[in-house]
Amino acid sequence: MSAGPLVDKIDPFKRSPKKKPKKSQGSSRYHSGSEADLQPLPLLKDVPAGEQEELFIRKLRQCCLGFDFLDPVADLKGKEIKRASLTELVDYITAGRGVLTEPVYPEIIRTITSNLFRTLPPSDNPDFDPEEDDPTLEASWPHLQVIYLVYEFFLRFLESPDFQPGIGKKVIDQKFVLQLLELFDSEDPRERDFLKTVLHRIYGKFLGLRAFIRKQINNIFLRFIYETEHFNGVSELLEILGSIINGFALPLKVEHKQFLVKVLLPLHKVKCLSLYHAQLAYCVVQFLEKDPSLTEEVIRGLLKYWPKTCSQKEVMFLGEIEEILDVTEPAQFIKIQEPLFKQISRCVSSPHFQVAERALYLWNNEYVMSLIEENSAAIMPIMFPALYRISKEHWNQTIVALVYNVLKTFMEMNSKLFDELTATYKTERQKEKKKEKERDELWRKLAELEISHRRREPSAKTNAVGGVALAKQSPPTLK
Amino acid sequence: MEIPMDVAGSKSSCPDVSTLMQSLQQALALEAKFQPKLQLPSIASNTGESGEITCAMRDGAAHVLRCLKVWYDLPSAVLLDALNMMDRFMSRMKARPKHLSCIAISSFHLAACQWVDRVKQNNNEASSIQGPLQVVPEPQDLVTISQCKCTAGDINRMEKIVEAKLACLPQEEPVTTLTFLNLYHSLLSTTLPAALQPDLLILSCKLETICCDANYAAFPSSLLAFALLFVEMKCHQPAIEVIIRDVLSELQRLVQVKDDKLSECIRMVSSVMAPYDGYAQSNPSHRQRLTWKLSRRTLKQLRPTEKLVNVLPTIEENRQFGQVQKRSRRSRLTPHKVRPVSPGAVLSSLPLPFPTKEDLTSFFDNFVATSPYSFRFLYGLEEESPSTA
Repeated sequence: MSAGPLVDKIDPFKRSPKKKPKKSQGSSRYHSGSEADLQPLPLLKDVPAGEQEELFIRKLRQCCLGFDFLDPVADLKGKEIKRASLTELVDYITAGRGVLTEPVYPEIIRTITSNLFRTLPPSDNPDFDPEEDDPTLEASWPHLQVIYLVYEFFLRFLESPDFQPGIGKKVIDQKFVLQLLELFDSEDPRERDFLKTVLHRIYGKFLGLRAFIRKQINNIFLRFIYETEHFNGVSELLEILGSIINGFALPLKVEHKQFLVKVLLPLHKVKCLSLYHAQLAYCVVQFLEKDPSLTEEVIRGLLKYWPKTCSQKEVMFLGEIEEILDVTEPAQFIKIQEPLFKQISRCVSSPHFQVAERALYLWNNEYVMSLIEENSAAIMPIMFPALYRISKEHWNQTIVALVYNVLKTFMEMNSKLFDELTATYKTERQKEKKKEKERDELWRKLAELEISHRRREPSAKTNAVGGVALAKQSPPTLK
Repeated sequence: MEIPMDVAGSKSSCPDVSTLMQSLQQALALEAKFQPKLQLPSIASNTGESGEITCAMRDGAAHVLRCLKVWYDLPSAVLLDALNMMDRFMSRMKARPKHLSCIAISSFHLAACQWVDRVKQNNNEASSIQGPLQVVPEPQDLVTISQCKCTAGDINRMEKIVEAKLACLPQEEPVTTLTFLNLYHSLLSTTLPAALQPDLLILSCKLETICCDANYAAFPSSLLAFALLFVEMKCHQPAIEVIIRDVLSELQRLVQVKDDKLSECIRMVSSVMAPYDGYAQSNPSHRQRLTWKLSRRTLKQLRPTEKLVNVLPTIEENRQFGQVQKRSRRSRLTPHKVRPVSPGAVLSSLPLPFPTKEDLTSFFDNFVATSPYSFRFLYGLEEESPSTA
């Protein structure tokens, strides 16, 4: 909103000779008011204790004013006053005792609202790849400085030993929280980091808001998974959820279990999983530490969402599987070992060497090894064919070496079973080869038949045997 | 089904009893020449460079060879020959532990080469054996796969030493327990009906297991093979048992096995077979210490939660944050990295990543010089050096 050109009262549509100022890229709002509003106020420490509250409120109101930070020279004095004020206020809250009186609360919230709550600008770069590109930060740096100061101020407010949730809950309500949550979509990682801590404290202190916050986060995630696949604050929200999950009381409420199955697991299928996978895996593992009986559902869910075309994601999934197995109890392991190791044997056979490598490296984990050892009779037959085949066929030498490690480990685990499986595999391979040979033999005979047929009746139409003639070139081989 | 080859090189499916008897007598005559006389200590008297090779070390090497045999799809004969050469070599030479893997691998390579040569010579039989079996593994490949700490050149040199020491003639196949086992099996197949004949493949596997235990060398090869048959052919109905006993005692007479020696051998065989048949794990002292080499890219990204340096403090359900008295629950997850801060801590004492006011001002003072998006201090990422696990 620029200070518009002078409008001619006679002809309102007359074009302004002045060029229209460029549309602001940032979300900085500013106030084009007179500079008289921003008079420098005395320092809080210089004022007697009785007047501090009033001065505090006046300063807070001053800080509600915004400035045009796109223009570096505009309102320099005002900007500096505001910045210095905020810095002073941060100190004042941290050091002082008894400064958080009831009238101050709504003023603080108003300051925060006016400075922080804004519509986020549309992304300059819609194809923003979070891993490759640097995020586009706010257009103006001094503006950011102010914003960060406001966040810090807010945090110190919440953290203050004088903070009383009973008074706070009147001003920090659902509407406020909703606006706060929307800011999580900011592209500025530092802002999101502040927001994360702020929301964490709010969740911690206001028990009445907890259900609402959880529900809103659910909505954000579900919209992210099923509609937009775009939200910048997923990892921060997941971090908060991690600390919440860690504090769940046992037995777990149904609502929480549903959240795991309906929200956390589907979060795995989004394309940009790499942005928040660490936090997501942490949440999942925390859940399993709380309630091991969820293991089966979690693993089956992961297997359902197992990436079929993206190898990078497969490697991430395998890492997560190892973390889960680290906390899996033997009784739970037995329930999921078969489907899990079928998938692992498929990963081991993958031509993408990183996937195969990561899958084979599971055998280097002592606890996973002990689980496998206890159930070697079930697991070895699943893994063996893939391992044996790869030892001969894989292109990558690192993989072949790892396969040796796994086979040797199997042999040490249970040599009789190992010998039996080797023998079975060999006999099956020989049967297959025999069948192949027979098939080749059959094609050869057919070809001979066709030649002899042609010799006897050279004028006869070859259409009938044309099919055979064509196929003679490449008899099908079943792999 | 792998068709067993005996010394004479004829297929056992159509045995000629007199030929077999002749081969048996020949084998018995050569037995002493190929008998290893292992005298390895059971515990290491001296560790390190000047130490001796113990039974456990030798067994460990034998198991590695066994795995290699499966890996390269070679028959039992190669393994038994290799073990035979290795043991005979160590009977004559006092080798140091650091050379054990080299001796083992070179014996294996030597046995494989000799076997392939022999197969090529018997051209008729060669066609019945499929392709890969006729390829001898390269020494470099052996060295890489088995993770022994020597080079291909070492293997080649050691092979020559072993050959020289054992005075091996290239055409001469060593007479091992497997030789006798094959002969006995062929003889039994002439007298016993097919249903009662033991499975040669299974017996070979069991024989391999026995020979991986250093105690086998205390008994002559012919006795050992017979003892295995004796133990394995026990489990039938009483009426059939009688027939089997008769046949075996006839064989015993042929081979001139004494009863007392036999019972001693049977005890040894049973003690080795019992854990094997029970699907038990192998002795921990026989396990190979494996190196797991990974590529750099995979090493950087092993576990997702490695990236989490600090997590937010726990918020207890049904309790206000900051009221909790006890310390928040430490996750089993990367405990050395994730350190939940006790709630109620003053802001400035919180560890990174939360910045202090000083951080903020200095950050903005310096932002022109450094990249505006310097994220490393936020997530505590460090430069990782690639390494093998």
